[in-house]
Formats: sequence, C-alpha cells, structure tokens
Amino acid sequence: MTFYYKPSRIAELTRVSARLLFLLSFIFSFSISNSNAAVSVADGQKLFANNCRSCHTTPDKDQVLVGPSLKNADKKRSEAWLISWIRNNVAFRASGDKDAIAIFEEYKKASMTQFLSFSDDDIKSIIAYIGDASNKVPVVPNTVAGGASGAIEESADNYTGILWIVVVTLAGLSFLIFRINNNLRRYAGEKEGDEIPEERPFFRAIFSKGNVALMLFMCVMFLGYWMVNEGQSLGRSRNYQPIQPIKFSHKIHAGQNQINCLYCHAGAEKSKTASIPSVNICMNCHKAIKEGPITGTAEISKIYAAYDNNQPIKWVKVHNLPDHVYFNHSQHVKAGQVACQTCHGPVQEMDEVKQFASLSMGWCVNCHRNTATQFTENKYYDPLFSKLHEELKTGKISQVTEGDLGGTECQKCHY
Amino acid sequence: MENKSYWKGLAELEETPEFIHERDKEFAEELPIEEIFNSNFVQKPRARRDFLKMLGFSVTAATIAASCKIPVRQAIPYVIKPEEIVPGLANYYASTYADGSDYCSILVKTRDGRPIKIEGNSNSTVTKGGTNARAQASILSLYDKARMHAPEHEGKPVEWTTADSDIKNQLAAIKTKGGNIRILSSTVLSPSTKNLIADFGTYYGNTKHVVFEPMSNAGILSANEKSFGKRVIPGYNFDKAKVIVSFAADFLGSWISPIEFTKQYVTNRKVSKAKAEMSRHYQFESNVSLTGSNADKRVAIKPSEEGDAIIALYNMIAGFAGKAGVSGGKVSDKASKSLNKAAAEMWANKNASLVVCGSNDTNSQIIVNAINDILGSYGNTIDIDNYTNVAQGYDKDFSDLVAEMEAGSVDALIIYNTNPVYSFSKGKKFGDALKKVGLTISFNDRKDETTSLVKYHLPDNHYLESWNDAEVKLGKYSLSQPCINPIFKTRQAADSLLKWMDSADDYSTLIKKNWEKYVFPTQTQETNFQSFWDNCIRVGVYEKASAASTAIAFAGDVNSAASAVGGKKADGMELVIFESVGLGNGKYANNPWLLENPDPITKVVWDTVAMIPVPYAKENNLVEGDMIEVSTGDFKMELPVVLQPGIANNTIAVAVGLGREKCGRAGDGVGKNVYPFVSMSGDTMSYSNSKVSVKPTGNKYELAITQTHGTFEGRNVIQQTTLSEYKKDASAGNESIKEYEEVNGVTLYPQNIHEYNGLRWGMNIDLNSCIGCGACQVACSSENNVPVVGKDEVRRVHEMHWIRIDRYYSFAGEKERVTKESHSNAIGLGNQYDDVKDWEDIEVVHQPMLCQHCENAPCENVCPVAATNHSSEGLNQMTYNRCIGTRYCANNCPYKVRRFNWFDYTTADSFPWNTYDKSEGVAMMIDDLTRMVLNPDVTVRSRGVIEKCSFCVQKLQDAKLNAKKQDRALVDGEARTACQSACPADAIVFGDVNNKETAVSKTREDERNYYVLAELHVKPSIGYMVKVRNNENMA
Repeated sequence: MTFYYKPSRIAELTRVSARLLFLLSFIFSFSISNSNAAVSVADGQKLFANNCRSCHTTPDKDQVLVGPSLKNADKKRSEAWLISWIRNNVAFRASGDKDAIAIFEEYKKASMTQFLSFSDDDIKSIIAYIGDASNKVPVVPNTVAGGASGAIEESADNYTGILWIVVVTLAGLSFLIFRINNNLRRYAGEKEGDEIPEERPFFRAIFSKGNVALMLFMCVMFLGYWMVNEGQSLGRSRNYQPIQPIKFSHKIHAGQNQINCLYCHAGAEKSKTASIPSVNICMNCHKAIKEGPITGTAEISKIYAAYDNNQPIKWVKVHNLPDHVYFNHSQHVKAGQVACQTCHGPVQEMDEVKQFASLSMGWCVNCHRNTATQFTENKYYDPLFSKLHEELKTGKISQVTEGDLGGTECQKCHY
Repeated sequence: MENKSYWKGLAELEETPEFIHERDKEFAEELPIEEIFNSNFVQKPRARRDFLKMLGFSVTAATIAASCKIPVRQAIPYVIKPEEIVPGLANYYASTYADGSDYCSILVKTRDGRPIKIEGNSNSTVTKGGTNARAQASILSLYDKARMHAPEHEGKPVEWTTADSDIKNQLAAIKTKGGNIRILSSTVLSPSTKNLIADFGTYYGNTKHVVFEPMSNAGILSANEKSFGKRVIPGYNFDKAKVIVSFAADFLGSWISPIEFTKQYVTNRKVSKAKAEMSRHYQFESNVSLTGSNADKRVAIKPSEEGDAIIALYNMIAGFAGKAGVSGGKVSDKASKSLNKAAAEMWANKNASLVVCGSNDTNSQIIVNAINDILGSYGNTIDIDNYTNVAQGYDKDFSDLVAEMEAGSVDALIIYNTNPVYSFSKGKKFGDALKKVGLTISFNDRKDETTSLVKYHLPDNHYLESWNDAEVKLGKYSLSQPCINPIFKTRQAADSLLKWMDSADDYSTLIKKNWEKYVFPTQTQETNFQSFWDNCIRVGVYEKASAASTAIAFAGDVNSAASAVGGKKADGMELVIFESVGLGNGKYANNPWLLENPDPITKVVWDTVAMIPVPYAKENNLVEGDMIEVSTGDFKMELPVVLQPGIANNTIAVAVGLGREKCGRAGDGVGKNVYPFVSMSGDTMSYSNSKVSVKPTGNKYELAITQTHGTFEGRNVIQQTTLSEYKKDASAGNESIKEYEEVNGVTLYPQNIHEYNGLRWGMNIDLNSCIGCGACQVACSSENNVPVVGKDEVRRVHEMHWIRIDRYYSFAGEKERVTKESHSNAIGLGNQYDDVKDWEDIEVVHQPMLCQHCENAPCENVCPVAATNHSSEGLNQMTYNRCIGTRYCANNCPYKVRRFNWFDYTTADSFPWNTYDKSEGVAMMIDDLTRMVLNPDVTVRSRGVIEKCSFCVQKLQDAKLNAKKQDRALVDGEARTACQSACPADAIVFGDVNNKETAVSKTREDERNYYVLAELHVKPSIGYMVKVRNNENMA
C-alpha cells in the first residue's frame, strides 16, 4: 500500500480543508469592502462627501461656502501642492508657500481642517473626483428637505467584482471538495470492506451537525455584531429631523441669503449654548420681509403672533447631548475657530435642520485627536507647553492637536 | 519637632473597642452579603423554568427600556432677549446679604435668570470678599417652598389690595384715637428702611420702633452709653491689635461682625520669614467657641468666674497705670497666672491691644471699656466714631414692649423679620400678649411660630428678590439689587409700609431718592447722580472715608460695676447658652445645607447637644449620646450629651439655633429650642445660668456626629510649632520634609511619572489662617451640587461633603507623644487620662481635608474601569459615567475623601416618590423648586458612583476658556476654587505650580509647607502650612 494513512483519515483531512476553505472565502468576503488602496473617482467622491463637503460645495458648482469652490482646483494647482495643502495646511503655510498663505488670507484666516490620516492615494482620489466632477453640469439642488446632502451612491468598483468572483469560486471549490471527500470516503470504505454508509441526500449533507453548528455560530456572530452596533447607537439620533413649530428654512436664510450663522446664533461665540435666536432677532429683518418664497405669509405670521402676544416660540432641540457631557460652543467657535458646519453639516443647504453628526463620544474624541488647535495663534498657549512649542519649532511635530493638550481626558468634558 | 498626639474625639484618644472596630472597617456598615446569600431567595434550588422566567423577564425589561423613545426636548428662546443676558453665561450682580445682624457684601452668580451661587464682594472694605456659611447658604433659602406663597388674613388667603385697604382703615382708626403703634424688628441695617420707619411714625403718630435680637449685645450698647454717652457698638480693629484678650467673645464665629473680624484677625496670624510676628490671643471662656479654638492661650473659666476675671484684669492694668483698683477679682490660680501675663503684655503693647467681652451684662462691659480706655485702645484698636450698625437689639425696649402688650396698650404691632415666640425666652408669654393687640401684622417670610399667631401675614420678599441698601458701619454703604423676580406672590416689607402711607413711590425709587439726597452729596468724584448710582449698583458698595476719631473721656463707674459683677459664687453645675456658628440664631433652621454642615467644634449635625466636661462625664458614667436632663428651676429639658474637651469643669454649654416648630419641612422638630434657658438679668438678657441641676435620665440617643469619620488611624497629619521655634528655624515642626523629599525622589516606576507640559494645578492651605468656620463646606456644596443626605445617613457615615474640616484636639501641656503601646493598654481603661491630663487645657487645630489630587494616586491604580485617572494638569479626575461603584478607590484612599452615593440623593433620575429617605430635609432638596439651585455646569451624581473634590474643574475650565477667548495668557488667581473664594480667612491659595511666579508656587518654596502623609509617597497636590502658635509663656 502506498497509502501512509488510512483512506478515512484522508477523507477527514479533505473535509477539514474544505471547511477551512469555506471559512476563508467567508472571511475574504468580509474583507472585500476594506481592500481598496488605489486611486478611484468613486473613492474620491466618498471621501469628499464625508470630509470636505461641510465646507466646500460639490466641485460642479462655483458657490463659496466656508471654503472656496473647488471647481477645476485640480487644474489650478499641482497635485503635490494639493496633497501638502489638504493633508496639513498649517504646516504647509508655515513652510512659507505663498499661494497657501494667500488663500488663508483670502478666507479670513479661517483655518482648514487637517487630514493627517489621508494617504496619498486618498488625496489623489479626491483630486480625481474634483477633476471628474468639475466637468459635469451642476446638479439642480433637490428642493426636498435634506435632499441636497443625500447619501452618495456607493458604487462598486472593478476590484469588488473580481473579489466576489473569487469568493464564489472558493465556495464552489469547497463544495466540490466536500463532495469528493464524500465519494472518497465511500470508496475507501468499500475497499476496506467496512460497512458502506448510505449516501446521504444533498440536503442532509448540508444540514449535517457540523454545518448547522457553523451556521449557528455565524448567526450568533452576526447577531452579536448587530446588537453591539445597535446598542452603541441607542440614545443617539443621527439624522434626527423633528418638525419645528415654524417651517424655518436654513437654506433660504444661511444658504441663499448668506446670513452669517452667528448673526442669529450669537451665543456660539460667547457662551456654552449657541442659543436659538429670540423673536426680536427675527424681527430685525422680518419687520420688512413679510412674505417668504415658499410658504408666503403663513409661517412668517407666526413670528408676528409670537412677538405681538409675547409668547416665545417653542422650537424643538435637534442636537441633544447627555446631561453628563459639558459642551461649550464658544470653546469651539471662538477659541478653536471651528466652522459650524464641521459638526452641524451643510446647514445652509437644509430646509429643515437635521442632526448631521452622530454626536457620539468616539466622534468627539476623533476630532480632538486629529484637529489642529489654535496653538500658535492664541496667546493663551504662549507661556504654556514649552515642550510642544520647541517640537513645533524644530519640526518634530507638524501640528498640535487637542489631544496633545489633554483634550481627550475625561474631565475636559465630564464634570 | 513636637511629639504631640492629636485626636478628633475621645473615642479615638482612648481607642475604645468600638472605635477600633469602626476604624478598621473601610465602610461604616457591613454589607448584608451573608444575609442575602443565606436568604430563601438565594438558597432555594432553582428549577430550569425559573431560570427561563428570569431570563425572559430581564430580556423583556431590557428591551422595553431600550425601546423607550428619546424625549423631545424643546429650546425656548426669549421673545425679547435682555441685552445683558446671554443664555448659558453667568452674570454676577453685586448685592448685599443683610439679615438682622448678619452682613456680607456679595456677588450673586445668576445663570439664565436664576441665582445659583453667592460669592464675596472684594470691593467692600468691611467684609473684603469674605463670606460665611450663612451667606453662602442663603441662596438655598430663596428656593425654600416653606416661604409664604401669598398674603393671608387670619389663615385665609387675601388679595394684597384688600389687605392694604383693611390695614389702612384700621391704622387710620388707631391714628384718630391716638393709639400706639409698635414696629418690632431685628436689626435694620438699611438707612432707607430706618428713614421709612421714622416717616411711618410721623405719618401715623405714637409709633415706636423696637429692635429685638435673640442673641443680644445690648450690654455693649448700654455700657457705651454709660461710659461715653454714645449708645453704639464701636468698630473693632483686630488687625491693629498685637495682644487680644477675649472674655467669651466669639468674634470669629458669631460675635457682632465675624466676617469682618476674621479678615482683620488673620492679617496678624499669617507668618512668613519676612514677617515672623503674630498677635497674641488670650481667650477666657467657659465653652469651647470657634474663637477659643483658635486662641494661643485658652483658659477655661466658669461663667460665674467671668466677672471676677474681668475685674482681676482691670486691677492689674490699673496697677500698671498707677490707678486705684476695685474690690473683687478673686479668680483661680490658673486664670490668675494667664491674666497676669496678658495684663503685662497688653501694658507693654499699649495702644495696640484689645479687650473684648461677649457678655451681655452692662457692668462687665463697663469694666472692659475701662480697661480698653487705660490701654489706649480707643482711637486705635477700637473706633467708637466709626461705629457699627449691626446688633442693635435693645433688650429693655423689648421687655417694655412685652409689658405694654400685656397691659393692652399696644393697638397695632408690625413684626418685621423677627420671631420672638421662638427666640424669646418667654416666647409663650409673648404669644399670649400678641392676642391683646388689636392689629397684628407680620412681614416674616414664612408662617413661623410668631407669624402663625398674627392677623395679617404679608410675606416679605427674599433679599435676592429685593431692592435695599445697608449701612453696616458709619459711611460704609452697600446696595442690594433683585437678581430674580419674586418667585411667590410676596411684596417687600418696605413697599407695604409705603402703600399704607399712600406714598406714590415704591421702595426702589425711595432708595434712589435717599441716595441722591444723603449719599451723593458726600462725594465729589461723580457729578452726575445717575452715573454715580449706576456705578454704586455695579460695584455694590459706596464707602466714605472713615470719620476722624475724636477724643473721648471714659465716664463709667467702675466701682459700682465691679461690685455688681464680682464675687459670684456657684457650687453646682452652670449653663452657657451660645449662638451656633453655622445656624446662627435659628432663622435659617430650615436650610438643609446649614443643618448638615458640622458644628466647627462638636462636629454634630442636625441636632442640639449639651456639651459636657469629660471629668463630669466620667464621674457619672456618661458617654456620647446619653441623655441628661438640664433644669433651671422653671424650665427643664432633656438633651443628648457630647463629651467636650476644653469646656470648663462643671459647665454645660448648649447652642441655640434649632428646635423650631414652624420653619418648614427640613427644620421642624430638629434639635431642641433652648432659648427658654435665657433669663433677664436687670435690663439685659443673660446667656448663662449658675444654678442648674443636671441629672442623667438613662435614655440613649444616636447622634449624627462626624468627628471620627475618616480617621487617619493614628498617623500624624498635623505639623505644629511655636513662634519662637519658627524664628530660630523656619522649618521648625517640619523637619521630616527633607527626609521625605529624599525618599520621594526615588521611584521604582519611572514609566508612571506624570509629565505636566502645560498647567499643573496645586493648592496650599495655611493652618495658621484657617479658623475652621465651615464657610468653604457650604460653598463647595453649593458650587458642586453636593447632596444633602439627612441625619440618618450621617449616622451611617454616608455624608457627602467633598471638603471636611478635621478638628484635632491635643493636650496643651503635652510635649511627649503618647506611644501607641500605652494607647493599646488604655483600651477600656479610659480613666487613666484623668489623673494626668488637664481636660480644660486643650489646644485645637482645624485642618480642611479634601481630595489631595495625588500624583501617585492610590485610588487611580485600583479602579478596574479607569473611572478615576490622572489629567495632564495634575487633577485626579473622577468620571461618574464610567464608575461602576466598586469603591476600591475609597478603600485605598489614605485621606478618606472619596464619598460614595449610596442612594440617589438628588434624585437625578428616579421618581420623586421613590426616594430612599422620607425625611423632610432630604425631601426638600429634591423638590423641583429647590433643585433650581443646582449648578447647571456640574453633573448631578446618581446612585452607585463615587464622587470627590474636583478642584472645581468647571471653574478652572471656565477661567482657561475666558483667557483663550480673549487671546491672552491665564493670570494667576484667575482660576479660583469655591472653597478658596468663600474663605473669610484667605487660608487657601490655588493656582498653577508649573509657573514659579504664582502665589501657590511660592508657598511651595516656603519652609512651612508640608504634605499630609508625605511618607506614603503619594505626592499630594495640596500643601499645608505648619501651624505656628504664639503660645510661649502664657502661663
């Protein structure tokens, strides 16, 4: 006999390998969504929507939001320039690039967010997207509330298809090996004169004990994953969009009429709360403006009713934080120079405001970890953190984040 | 280095088995673990179906709970936003806390239209930014639901207009028939109200204003009238006195103007190498007062000896001055020795010494005046020209009024902010006499003991809802402004008077007019009244320069005074009645913050106790909590005892301030009313009694007393030295610091060394300045939403204060430390101390104890969930939402400053009726209205989490943010903790220790700086300054 092992042993090995293969294909299918490393317009579009959109319009438009329109930005600047600027505009400006400083000056020294975590490919994808989108005809904004900021289609790219083919092939292969294994076992049994097991029907093979256990295991894994995810989002209300007592449109006020956010939400610069404007602020303009483009006089008359009867308007709070969180608007808007849209999203495009960010602690902390502070700009830091000043000077670090200053400690927000 | 033993209570000194048992446990009570595991529920075998049932229930419950909808929250802005209000940003309004004899110039922190915190106003030269516990706690009284909600007539609600017209008619009738109108009030500090009362008198005729203070200083008023022809209480300058002799005057705690005096007193108590001088302070007193506990030499004398002690001092001083002495003055040898030393020192420091006396006896005060006159105190340490306006109660006026009322010759009585049925010794007599008065009106804020007997109850506003002015000392004006609209349908008392005079003005207009007429012309800087007025409101005070001193001649009759006070004999027990430092005269008995603030000496909360001498207790086998019956012939009362070291032998001391029957939910029935022990002696009330009988009743009572909670298990935490030692060596008493510095420089865990790149917060507490008053404790509760737990919970050692003041006793004569071995031998043999120790002669040290924010914090590395960890600014941060309540941290904290929320004390998230404790004091704190006092920047902690001092991190963050917003560096002293701001003694310094220029950094360089339990190498962030006593050679 040339067999070193009993045929049944071989059959067992094949069975195990088939299962391993199946598991592999399963794991592989999970990793598909994360396996992209090259430059693609689709990636760029996604990155743009998640990171740039709050301050820049889509590159098909010329409109200036917080930052400039990026239409044809890929043609105006070199790729290297754009990569330096997008990744760390503070350091880039510090390096003395004239164009960079000029832009900074032009936009009233509103510092752009830094994207240190972006790879070169990420940025190139964004640039590719900008180039692609710049040539398109502007999309007419959707008049349905929130439509303008609607989710971007997640288009699958070339690689995904291939990977799926691999998965299917692997699954097929494992099934094939499984069958072969069965046949082998029968053959081996016959040869050794064992009692030949009856050939199991297909469905019985599928629902064998081992397979059922595996499926159960997968179900538990999936349910667990789902429960943890859902559990984490308990109490969170991303995309919460309550009906307000007055159909007030931020799109008309902040978007079309370009009213500065701080004109109405004056508290944002001074206080813990951004504050909802009191009726007398509304009246500053609405003494004259008595009719709106969408609702006519119906909604505006509600302001007059409130004003005349001295009855406050009961707005519904959109962004709610738990009681044990201390959040201060002025800390971010005035001291940190963070744009409103960073957390509230493109409010100027929303008819009715909805909660843009998850407001989860992870979301807060990530920003604290990654965003550069006004470390060199604000004189508060001058006598403090000599070590960081030194490192910044020597170029050991390119920026100082809130995390570097202790901004991720518990008692910065919980007390 | 001294080797004294310090102890917080007798149990600790004697190490009674009970104490050791309690001490060695980490938490006072055992958890009922055994009980639970042996219970039927656990022991019964569970069937599989039971398991499934429980599983099903919990899953369903969790699902239901998880699927609850998030409530819709509204954000309701103003219709027209006032210009000065930014929602979420605090405004500070300068105002004045003036209530009877209590005075404090304050700033009121107002958030979104509701006052939430009181801070001292440093613009005032009288209180200089200091506060006391009552001023701090007064904010809570604003939200007290026991305040009257609307006016009443004979117990039935009445409209203001109806009440006004009825009263006006009745007053007019009285005027027509020429009847007598009497206005009875506590001390009125407002010049405008005084004017108004005078005008009211002119309007209606036959009106007299009578001032009643339950804890009276009428003796000083009459003595000054007899000595100098001026019925005033002079201004005192403790800052100018190098030698202070006080005969039972508790000037740091309750006498006349404690905040002002504390500020003055501590200027001469702080020592540094640059100024290694201190005042000398002798205190002759019967009970242990807060002031006595801070004295360099405290001599216990019986109340009956006080007169002779004063005479003895007079004779000695007169002897130095070559004047004839007076008869009497025989005192014990011990007192005599100290009096001799005091007399000699004062004579050596003529013009810079001061004698004060807390007695309400006119004759005693006349002799004290005479002593001060010989010593040249007038014009130096006493300023009779710049007199004070507090404590204007004149006992004779009051007793005359009672007589008039009884005779039926008073037709109308208007009661304003005083409650004699409770606080007058013959309260019932006053109540009966009230019935003989035709028209009785009360402005009191609540339906108290007196007000419930009057016909018209027209409730006054709270002071935070009112316009007012005050002139606490001559020419030292301050203003009160409303910080909130009246919460209830109340009206300011002065407005009521104005209404009845058919005045067109309201009171705020009247004040303004008065200031324009009387105050504005006295200054020259401002030419426009409106801008002067606006500025005064903004600053809160307007102070004229002090009047020049005029020569005065003492014209009192010392001889007859001496014969009246001297030679008193008393063989039995004697009784002293004194004013509680925290609660005062009883007006604030419904304030849970004050009720739960431990008494500075006894550390008792929520109760009235009899302080008894230890030898007496040993003789009669009394232990803490035994009941005794104190009787003075016509009045007797059963009280629980506290064994009080330092109290004069055969003397019992009891504080007034509790035992209210009609003050509100928290205070009703708490403690006992001991005012009936007060007696009339001549024209003044007397607060001591030399003929009392005391007998143990055999009853027991469980006191809520915090003195031995959080013990250091015999570790030495107090460092003390004497002034002469300090002069020789600035690090006297602090020799160990160098040793520890060496040891603490070594670490086995270099990776655990924290790096502080930016700020590094640190604190320093000067044990020389801290007087132990407890203002910081209330301020902390107010700032940090520290819950009130109630008497039962304190008994179970569940009090929640983030800062406590540990009060340590030591025997004054003791120089050798009593070793631990001999301590152990003393178990059960407590009497052993009686032979060798002088229980009258004790020294007291007060030590505020709060989270030390250790660098190597023992709490941090035992937390299994990292709920407590270290910040880059040196804070030991406590994260409530992470805490799972293992209490390992509290277990591992050597300072015992971590407090556990055994219940949901402030009902952060439970239903109001589901609260743990139905006791009214706690119930009051969870009322929706009372909860308005909570600080919105600080989390209200829930059940099951540990909490502790955060160094007021919300204030630090706010200070940092302000600096950032203004694009500037943080200034030293900008970030202040609540305890620091509240302290009337400036004992606390706080700031950035990374910056070598800050005040707190400089204290760290000082040789006196030491760290409590430095030997543990936990590296605390709080330094303490060695206590220096100026007590050599004081006999």
